[in-house]
Amino acid sequence: MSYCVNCGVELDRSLTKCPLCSTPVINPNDIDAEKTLPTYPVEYMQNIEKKLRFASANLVTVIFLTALVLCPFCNYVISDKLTWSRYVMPSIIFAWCCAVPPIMIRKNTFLKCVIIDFISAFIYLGAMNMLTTPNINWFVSICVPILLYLFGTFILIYSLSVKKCSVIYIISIGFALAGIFCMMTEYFLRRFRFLEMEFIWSVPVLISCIGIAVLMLIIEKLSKVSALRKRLHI
Amino acid sequence: MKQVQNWYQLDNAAKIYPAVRTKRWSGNFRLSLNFNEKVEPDILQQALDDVRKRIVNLNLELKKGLFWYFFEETDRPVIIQPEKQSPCGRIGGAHNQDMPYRVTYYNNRIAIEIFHALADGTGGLIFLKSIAARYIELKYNEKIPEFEDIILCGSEYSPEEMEDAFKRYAKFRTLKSRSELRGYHFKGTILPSDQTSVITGIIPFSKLHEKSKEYKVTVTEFIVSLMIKSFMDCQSKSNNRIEKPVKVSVPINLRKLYPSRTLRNFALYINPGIEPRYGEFTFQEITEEVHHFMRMNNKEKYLNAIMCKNLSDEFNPVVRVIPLFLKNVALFTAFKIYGETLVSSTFSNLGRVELPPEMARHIERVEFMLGRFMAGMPSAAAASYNGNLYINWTSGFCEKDVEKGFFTSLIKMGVPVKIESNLI
Repeated sequence: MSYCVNCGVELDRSLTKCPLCSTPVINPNDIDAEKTLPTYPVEYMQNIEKKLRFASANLVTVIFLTALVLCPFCNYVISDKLTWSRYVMPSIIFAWCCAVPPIMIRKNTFLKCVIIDFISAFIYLGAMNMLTTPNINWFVSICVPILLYLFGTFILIYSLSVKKCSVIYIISIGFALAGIFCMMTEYFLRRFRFLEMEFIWSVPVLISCIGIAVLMLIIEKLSKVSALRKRLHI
Repeated sequence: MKQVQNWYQLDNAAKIYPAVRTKRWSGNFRLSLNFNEKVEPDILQQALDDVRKRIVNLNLELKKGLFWYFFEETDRPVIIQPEKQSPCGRIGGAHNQDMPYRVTYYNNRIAIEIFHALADGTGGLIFLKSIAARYIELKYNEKIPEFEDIILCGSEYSPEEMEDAFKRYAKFRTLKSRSELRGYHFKGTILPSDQTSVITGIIPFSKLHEKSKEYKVTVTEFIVSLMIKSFMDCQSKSNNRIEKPVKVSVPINLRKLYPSRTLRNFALYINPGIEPRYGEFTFQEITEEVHHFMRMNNKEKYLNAIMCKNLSDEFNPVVRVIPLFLKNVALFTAFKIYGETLVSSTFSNLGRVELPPEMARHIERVEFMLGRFMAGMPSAAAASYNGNLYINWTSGFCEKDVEKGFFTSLIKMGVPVKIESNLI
């Protein structure tokens, strides 16, 4: 017999996890023992949660699909050609890519969803560039570096939080990266518009952000001193 | 050609159920028993066919009239089915058309799932025991003696089995209002309406009885108190700004108060609970509240007044002449206002199931299970047999906080619990 280490209840031998708290059942003395027949037939004992997720994802998909079909149809009926709906359709597909993965993915949901969102954003913006202004390549000039930078920032902050770095430390890094982001944005915007290469608005932002970041790093170091910890805790 | 023999009005408690059922949900309950050996479907089918010749209720089919639903006798065959869908799934459809019950089998177990319009738990248990008795007679050549709550195939039919006991015993001295505050509802990730999660707790009855005696309450009162505590804990964790009353609906078997032998519905509900707005209640205080409420309200006079109130709506001449499709809308609305919203959960205790020794030596366990609430809130039903209490929690939510709170409280009190489930 097995007991849930979390709840303390005895578990039927057919169970692979505790139904109350989902703690897996691992009984080293019982590994080779033959499992008894499940209490209820396996035909419908499929993962109910999985069914629910599929049902929700299907519902969202149907909603988006309806919009995806109706928009070009209405556009064509009214204007005899596709005009505005050409922009709406990629947007709907992009929104679907952002909405459905959080429903379907169960493990490492946040990381996987953000990666999917970034890839979708790349494709979406590239498509919009081709559809709206095929002669001006703003996608490569502005979007690609900005998206890559944002993606790198996300990965860095995510890995810091996984390593359980202190919140103040992560926020200070975030401020510094935000300052650099502003400067980078101004640089790529000016380059795209063939303007003289000088930094106007981003420098004060960068200085402020770096200042805040340094201040927070100092606080973080000082807060390790026990006497100050109670005064400075966030 | 189909022979129509007779028809019956739905009893007062039954009237609501056909009106509120949907394409995927109907108010059902389930009774099951496990044999020592694997069930033989052919013998079970034969047993059911034989019992149907004797018990009128098992030959009834739900029909629509112009003003009310009604039951009509039918000679349509009822085919037993292997368990395939979630317990207490919607009844009616492919195999048994609109028969208000279904008999299933799985491994050692036979189960009868009953649409609540047909019967209550006590009536359902009589059906199940009678089918099991005939099955044992056929399979083991055992002669089952006359026994309380078992209808043997050769026994004589009594019209009392089909009586509407509500109408017979209502005194109409006074009517008791149904108005109550809305109860707390546990919220979570809702399962599709045809899915029910089941968690069965097997508890040694003697230990549970001993523990309830410590608190000077009955086993039912003790379990209801534990349920209330578990719901209370969930509410306090949910950060609700206004805490709602936590109430558990408890069906009262009126056959204990009136000498009726009806196999149809004859139960009423009382709703013990606590008001968290008065402050935090300890478990001892909850048990006292439940105990006194049950003693106060479980009285023939009060229950008769509730029965009369329910019947007065049915007898209202305006209500009677409203066409069924409009009545369905009105009943559905009434169900939403007065039905599930008033209480946090339901606990139905069938009590100790007694069987004659000729049957008991072939039967390992007996279980009782309620269908899920339409809104999905967890509810529980229990039956005691062979020294164990089998409590079945059914829920329409993925989250198991209430059930976990309930069972871990028992563990902390030193009452051992074994868990089974349809969740893998």
